[in-house]
Amino acid sequence: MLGRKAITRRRLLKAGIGALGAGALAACQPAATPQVIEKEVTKIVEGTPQIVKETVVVEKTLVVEAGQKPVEIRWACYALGEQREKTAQECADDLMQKNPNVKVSIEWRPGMGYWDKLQTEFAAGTAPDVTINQMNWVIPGAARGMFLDLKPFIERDNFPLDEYWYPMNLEWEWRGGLYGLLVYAGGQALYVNKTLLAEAGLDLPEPDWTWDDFLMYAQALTDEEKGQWGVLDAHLAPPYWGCSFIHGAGGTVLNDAYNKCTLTEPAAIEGVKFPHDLMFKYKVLPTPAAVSQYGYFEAFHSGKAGMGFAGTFWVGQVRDASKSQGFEWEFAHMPVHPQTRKRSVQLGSNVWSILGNTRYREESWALVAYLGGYEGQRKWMKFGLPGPRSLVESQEFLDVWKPQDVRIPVSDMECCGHDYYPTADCDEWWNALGQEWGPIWSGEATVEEALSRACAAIDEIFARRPPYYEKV
Amino acid sequence: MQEADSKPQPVRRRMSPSEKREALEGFLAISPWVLGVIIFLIGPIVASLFLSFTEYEVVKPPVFIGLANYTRLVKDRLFWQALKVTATYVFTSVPLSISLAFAVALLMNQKVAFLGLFRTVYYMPNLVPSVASAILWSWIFNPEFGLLNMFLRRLGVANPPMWLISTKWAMPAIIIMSLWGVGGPMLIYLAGLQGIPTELYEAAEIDGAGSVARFRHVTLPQMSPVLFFNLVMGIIGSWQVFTAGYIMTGGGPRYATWFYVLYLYNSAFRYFRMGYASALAWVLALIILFFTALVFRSSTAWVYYAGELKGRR
Repeated sequence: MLGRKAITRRRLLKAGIGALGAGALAACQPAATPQVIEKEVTKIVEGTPQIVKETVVVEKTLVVEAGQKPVEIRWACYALGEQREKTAQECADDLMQKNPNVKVSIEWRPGMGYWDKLQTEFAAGTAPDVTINQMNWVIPGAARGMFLDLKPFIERDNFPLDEYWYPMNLEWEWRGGLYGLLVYAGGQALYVNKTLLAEAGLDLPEPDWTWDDFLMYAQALTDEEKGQWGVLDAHLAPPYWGCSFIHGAGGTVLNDAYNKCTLTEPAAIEGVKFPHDLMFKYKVLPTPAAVSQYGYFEAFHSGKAGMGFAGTFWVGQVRDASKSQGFEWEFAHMPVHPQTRKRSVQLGSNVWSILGNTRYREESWALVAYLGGYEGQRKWMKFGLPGPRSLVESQEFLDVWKPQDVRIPVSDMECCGHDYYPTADCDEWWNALGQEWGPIWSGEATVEEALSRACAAIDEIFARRPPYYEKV
Repeated sequence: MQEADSKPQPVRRRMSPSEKREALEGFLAISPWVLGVIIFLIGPIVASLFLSFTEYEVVKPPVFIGLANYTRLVKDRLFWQALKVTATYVFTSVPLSISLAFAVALLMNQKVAFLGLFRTVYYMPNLVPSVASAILWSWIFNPEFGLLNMFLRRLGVANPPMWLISTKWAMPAIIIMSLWGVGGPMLIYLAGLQGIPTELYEAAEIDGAGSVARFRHVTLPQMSPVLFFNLVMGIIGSWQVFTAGYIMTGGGPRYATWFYVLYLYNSAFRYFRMGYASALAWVLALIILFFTALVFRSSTAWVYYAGELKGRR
């Protein structure tokens, strides 16, 4: 009898309260009907990545019964400015209206330390459900299980990803999984100051213009006395805008498997030497030091640069500057290499991702699908390029961007967009490359010396990679 | 034995209710601090020690790997570079800032016009947040349009240094920038200088001591505890230098400003190697402990405490 405890009134009361609590908790959980999907995924089988077929169970929430409390999901983003934040709230309101069982709570956070905090929160299990992500976060995070693969949801719900003109797989795919849907599409564009072009007696460049034509334009637009530059290109270090010349010349930064540096190959060297010559031989491109003093693209904003490479997301600032400074501008196609006839631009956008340990996968997916889908992209298209083709080709969108012809950068990105070489260790090898890259522009190293050292450092990093870092 | 036997034995006395209440209130009053130290200081210290023996990618659970992180350190080229760069910074910046701060404090201790203004001007850089001052100095050091090179060109220097983008000049630039913050230690020196009894100077003067002798035999010994304090704080702070490398150079060019804590931070949050970063942190803690202990040990030879009897500190 010693081991047994008598059922007292107090114990009965406690048990009752416990049962009530458990019942209440159970009621708060979304009821789910598991859906089974079979798909091909990449797995590490005894150290070697292999493609295997795996059955994935995706839980789908049923419609919530009346009177049930809505599920609150946290949507985190670094501060984007008043207008974008207003649009985000409109999206959240619209989604909540259409899905009364979902309550979206937006968290605007400081940009500095955003990624560090997100990692820490994820480790602690307190991360938001949906978050904005940059290209150097998604694949490193996805490789470590930090983000949810959206492919099973896309396949289950027939999300129209094939309607996207933007090559999503290049930037956001990792081992067969897709880890984000667009905030809005973006990438490298060439801005030209039409007013300065007219003053120099130049027409807008033809679509098939070459690097030689580009140099001729840059020289014609440079006026040292006026402090006017022919061209601006601040982000020369790979994997940024400077890559477009490397790819145009027929070179690459890494091999196809992304596990060996290829910058020492002649084509890549030629692609680095071209902007180097623009800077030091022809003096039509300011040095990184000069650009850093006044801020990137400031010379273009103030009408003191004939052409400039920048992201499509700069368009709002260029538009404002052109109004205040009284100049006209237009997009131009990226010039092609005179021999290889290759044209290349760097892609560069941000995505919404779902954190891997969210308790509310369905609700989070509903939000991400809304933002990346037609309605969300339509709301965001005043800030950037919408992903769906039907939107980017619509008169409504073209009107938003008038008088500029936004089809120019869109077609460049679609035909010739290159990714940022996203790998699980991209930040580490980007840093190694950046360390060796600097002396090229300070005159302390030749292009060949710097690239040779950079490749040695990058290959050293790749040699240490655990198997699951490999792209496959 | 007799002495030990004759020692009064401690008498255990029961606390009265009011004494108990008083003790409880005392513990309650200090409990936020104690809890804070346990949760936010001791906890992370213990956790980081444990993590230093693991492979921990932050977003995945840690895996115990024994001493692998520490053995990897020995072979890590970037670890040795970080150590070399930071040591160079510490052994240059600390003596320079101590000397400069002391010299400025001596000047600020003179009876000259606008003394209050001068003191304020020298101290003001300390009020500027470190990130803002790093950005400001990036402009000053800009090789083409920066104030410093503009000034050097006016002086006739045809090819002034490239500063932050030069492998040779990036570190000297950051050391120069660090001297901007001498206002902090200067204020402490100034307080110390003003605490030196004037009768010591009067006595020295009567004995025929000139200004150099007074400085050497009165000011320096009297100021030695303050110098000691600033030296210890300088060593501890300088080994942890971070902002300049993070904001101004990213550790470059060619790892010329690859500071230890920058490498630690990159390892933890950019390269997903929190376990390795923890090992780096513990090695840094030991390095700081070693140099601090060295200074403490040497202090018996050069630090003078008024009223101190040797051997009975």
